Amino acid sequence: MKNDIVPRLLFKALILILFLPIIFMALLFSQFFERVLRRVLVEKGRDDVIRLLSYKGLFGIFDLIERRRLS
Amino acid sequence: MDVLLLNLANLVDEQGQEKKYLIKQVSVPPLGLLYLGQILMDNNYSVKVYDQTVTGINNLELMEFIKRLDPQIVGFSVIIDNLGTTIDLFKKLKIWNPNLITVAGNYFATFFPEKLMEEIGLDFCIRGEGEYNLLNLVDTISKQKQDFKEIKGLVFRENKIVKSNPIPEPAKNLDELPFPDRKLIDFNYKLQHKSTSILSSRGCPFKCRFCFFSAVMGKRWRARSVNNIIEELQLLKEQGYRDILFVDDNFALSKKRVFQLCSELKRNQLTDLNFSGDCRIDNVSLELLRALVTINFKKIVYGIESGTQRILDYYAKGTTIDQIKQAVATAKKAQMEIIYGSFVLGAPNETIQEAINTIKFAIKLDLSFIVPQILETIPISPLYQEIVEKGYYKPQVEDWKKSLRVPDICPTAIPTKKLLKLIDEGFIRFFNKKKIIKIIFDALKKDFYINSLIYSIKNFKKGVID
Repeated sequence: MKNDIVPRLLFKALILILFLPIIFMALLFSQFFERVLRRVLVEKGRDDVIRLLSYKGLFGIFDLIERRRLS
Repeated sequence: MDVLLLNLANLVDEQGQEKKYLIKQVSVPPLGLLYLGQILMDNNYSVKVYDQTVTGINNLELMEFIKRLDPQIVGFSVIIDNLGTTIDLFKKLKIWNPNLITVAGNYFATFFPEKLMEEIGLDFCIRGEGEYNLLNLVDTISKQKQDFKEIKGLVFRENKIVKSNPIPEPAKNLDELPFPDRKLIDFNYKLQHKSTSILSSRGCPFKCRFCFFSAVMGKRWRARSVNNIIEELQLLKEQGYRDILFVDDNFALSKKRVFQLCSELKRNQLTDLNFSGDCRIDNVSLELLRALVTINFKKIVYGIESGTQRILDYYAKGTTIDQIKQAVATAKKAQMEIIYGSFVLGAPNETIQEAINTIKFAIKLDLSFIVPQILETIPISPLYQEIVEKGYYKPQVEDWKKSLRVPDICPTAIPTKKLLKLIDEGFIRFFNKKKIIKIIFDALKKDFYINSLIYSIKNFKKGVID
C-alpha cells in the first residue's frame, strides 16, 4: 500500500502540472479570442471572418490578429 | 488559341470603387472553371485558370498578368460577389484589346445574360452547365465561323441584337467528363494540408426557398459512378493532395452510393486522405456517419437553417427540429470530429423571438462551429417575386446587380441592423469560455484542431490578411 503512494502522488502531480496550465491557458485564450473576435467582426467584415474561421477552425483567429501585430 | 478563365474576387463594389481585400480566400480551387479548362485542354487549346480570390491582387496587377499571357478569349465565372470586379476588369481588357473575346458563365450568366451583354458589353454568355458548350463556342471562334445558333445555352449577338439559344439539358453521364487538372491554376491551395475539391454528383431535387443554384445544375440529381470517383481520388493522392472537400449540391442523397464509396475507398487504401462535405440532416443515419468516419470523413457540414419549425417550414427545408437534434447527436455518437451548422436568419415573417431562439438553439446544439447568415435574394428568385407581389418592395432597375438582404427589402422582417447585432452576439456567445476550454481539450485528441494549430503557427507570418 505504501509503495502505491509515490506513483499516485506523482500521477496526481503530473495531472495538476498539466491540467492547471491547460485550464489557465484556455481561460486566457478564451478572453483573447472574444476580444479579437469582437473587434474583427466589425473591422474585417462578418462574412469573411466567419468564412476564415470555418475553414481554419478556432485557431484561425491568429490569422486575424497577424496584421494588427505587425503594424 | 489561348484561353484564360478567371475566378475573380470581391474587389470592386457596385459603384466601381476598389475595395480593400481584407481576407484572402483560404478555400479550394474553383472546380467548375477547372472542368471547363480541362475540356478545352483535351481539345488542344492552351488554357490557364486564374483564381484572384486566393492571390488577392487588384485588377491593375491582374491586367499585367493578362497582358503577358495575351489570350484571345477570356472567360469570367460571374457571381454576385465578383460582379463589380468583372465589370471593372472587362472595361480595362477592352481598352487594352478591343478584339479580345469575352465570355461569361456561372449563375449570373444563366440568370442575367442580356444584362451582362447589353449593359456591360460582354461578347457571349453561356447558360446552364457550360463544359461542352464553351468548347463548341471556342471551336466556332477558332474556325472563324459565325454560326452560333447551334451552340446550346449560348447567348450571342446577331446584327447587334442579343439572341439566346435554349438552355441545354444538364450532362447525363458525369463519368464522361474528364478529371479536372488542378495544375491549371498556379496556386497551392491549403486547408491544413494540400487541399482540393471534388464533385461526386450534381443537382439537388429539393426546393429550399432560399436556394437558387439549382437553376444551373438542375433539380435532377446525377451521380458519378463510385469507380470513377475512386479513380480521380487515386490521381489526387498521387499528386500529393490530402484534404479533399466534396462540393456536391447533395452529397449523401443516395445512401447506397455513399456506402459503396466508403467500402471502395477502404479497398483502395485511400482512407489516409481527409474528407469533408455537406450533408442534409435527413440524409444521415448512425450507420452512414460511422461509415464516413471510417474513411476519415470526419468534418461534416449540416444545413440546419433555423431553430424554429415554422421558419423551417417557410424555407421549405423539409426537416424538423427533432431531426436536427438527432442528426447532431448521431454525428457525435459516430465520432464525427467536426460538426458545422449553417443558419439563415431574416425570413420575411420571422419574429425577433424566433431569431433569438435560433441563436440559442445553435449554441445549445453543441456544434463545433456555426455559420450564421442573413437571408439574401436576387430578382429571379421566387422569394424576391413573393416580396414584390405582396407589395413590400418596388423593384429597382439596378436590383440585378445586387444580392439583396431580405430584411432590407421586406418591412415585415427583422431589421438588418438588429439581426447583425444578434448574429455577432450569438457568434461571440457561441465561443464562450466553456466552449473554448472544451475545444482546447478536444484539440488534444482531434487531428483537426492540432493540425489547425500547427498550420496557424507555421503560417503566422504569411497570414491571409492584406
